Amino acid sequence: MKHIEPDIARRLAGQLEPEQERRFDAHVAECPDCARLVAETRSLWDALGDASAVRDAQQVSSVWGAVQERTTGREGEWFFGASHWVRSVLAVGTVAAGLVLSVLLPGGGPGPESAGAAELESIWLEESAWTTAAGEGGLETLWLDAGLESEADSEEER
Amino acid sequence: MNRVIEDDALMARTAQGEEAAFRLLVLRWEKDVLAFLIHMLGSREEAEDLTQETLVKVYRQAPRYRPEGKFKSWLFRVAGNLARSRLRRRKILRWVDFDSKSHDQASSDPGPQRVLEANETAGAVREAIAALPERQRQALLLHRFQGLKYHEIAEAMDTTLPGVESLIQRALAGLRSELAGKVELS
Repeated sequence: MKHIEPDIARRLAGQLEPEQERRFDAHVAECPDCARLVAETRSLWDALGDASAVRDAQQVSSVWGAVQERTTGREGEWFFGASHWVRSVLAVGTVAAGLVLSVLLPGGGPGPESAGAAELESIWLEESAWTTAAGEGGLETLWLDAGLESEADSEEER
Repeated sequence: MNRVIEDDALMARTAQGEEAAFRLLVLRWEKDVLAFLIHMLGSREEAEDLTQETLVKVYRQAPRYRPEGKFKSWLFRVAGNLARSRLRRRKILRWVDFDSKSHDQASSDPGPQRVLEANETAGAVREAIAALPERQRQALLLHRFQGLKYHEIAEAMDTTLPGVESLIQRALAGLRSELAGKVELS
């Protein structure tokens, strides 16, 4: 029995190689002791899944605001922490410089970096929608919907 | 159709100061990290606090991050280390403050089993998970709940494959014996 014990969790998680899995299953089919241990561990495995905190975590609102304040938000502290007159001078100066540059430089529009940021923004919105839907309707439904949607997409592409 | 930007690419863009890239990483991983920490610490408030810590650390370490392994393993290594040092600190504080008052408080501490338990079985299972030694608990959580493979867990926990194998095997054996008689397991 000892010899298959290290592989049980991997078998239950579907992480054994096909050949290892075949050997594992063949042994369990012939060995009642191992079959009992696997059955017991499978029940435990399922019970662990039911006790998962993932669902609880889905109900907690995003920590982004707090994290942003402690990371990227801090980059602006030198500005917002400055006195009123310094901020006013800087703000007026920035607007004036922008106006001068818009007159002097031909063309315009967003450069490649801002296009990248816009792309990230839209992906963020997509993933937010996924997360929200997962919280509301359950991941299983979402994956199912996504599967159907991608099948529909490929139908359209054809 | 969904577009995917790999975590490593987002880390590189975060290192360049692109807030949107970092925000996407946070959105992608915060719930997994939070769930892992709830099990590790047995307290949702503390888990939320350490989820923030973990993500702040990710941001600060982005310029030094090298995409040599899997981002997920690295992320859970950061979260796991923070959780373990929090647990150590908790033990020290309990030892230092050990008097009747703090003892009463410790006894009335909600404990992992009361953290949002859905039913009796889930509560018993959570209690049993919380009672596992830290490293066994960490390995099991990464495998069962985060779906990490053994070599990824080894990376996240700075150990070897046989080490992970042994931790998970002992964790499962511990749970089986702890839950025997409390939960039907076959």
